Amino acid sequence: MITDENLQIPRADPTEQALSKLAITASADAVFGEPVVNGDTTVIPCSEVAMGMGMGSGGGPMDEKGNPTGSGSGGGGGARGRPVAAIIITQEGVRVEPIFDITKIVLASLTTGIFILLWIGRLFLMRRSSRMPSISKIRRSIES
Amino acid sequence: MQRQLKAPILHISETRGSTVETSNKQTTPIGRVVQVRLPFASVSWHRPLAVEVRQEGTTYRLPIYDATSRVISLIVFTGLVTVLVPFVIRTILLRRRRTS
Repeated sequence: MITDENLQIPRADPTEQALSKLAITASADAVFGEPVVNGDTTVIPCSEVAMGMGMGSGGGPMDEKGNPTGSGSGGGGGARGRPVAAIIITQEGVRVEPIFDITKIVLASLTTGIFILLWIGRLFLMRRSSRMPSISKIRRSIES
Repeated sequence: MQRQLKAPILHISETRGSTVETSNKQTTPIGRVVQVRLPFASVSWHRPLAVEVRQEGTTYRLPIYDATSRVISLIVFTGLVTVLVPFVIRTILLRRRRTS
């Protein structure tokens, strides 16, 4: 008699699961969306997909009786996707319209701007400090 | 002894999306997959590469550019040049002053 307790469900290997997830990322459907038709115009959205995962395991040393003192394993992963362009098919022809991620561009501009300002400020401070006499020089001049 | 097939660490391949057929042309989007497979980790990067258009017997490819990445690279490059050029000029001037 087969009961739920006796029934053994085969467990998938985590590595195989990870590889199957990668295979999903590698399929064309992950990057190219369903074509949207509006009159004579067809639009295919394109996006970039990236995915990464890692896993590891380890065990502790053996005790006096030869039993393992401990073991552990863990894993993690992440995925991201963002729109890159749109393919527009019309009666006149096919063209690719890029998609600009304004938030990313503004953040990169702000970060670079702040970095430039700090660096230039540091250069000016260095120049000023090289012109000004140091405290040790002032002390020596007072002593003499 | 059975020999096991080893998967390559770096695997680059092309994928083709479903072809869209309009009145006089066939459009097929093409993507590129870069996969890095290690025993303990794996990374996959898939991005659109081009569009292949087949029209009246001729086939041509339109490249798909990642505009956002290009703009960000340009901003970062401009920032580095803006910082490095005054620094290099200052260093050269200081060395000249020391030698003279």
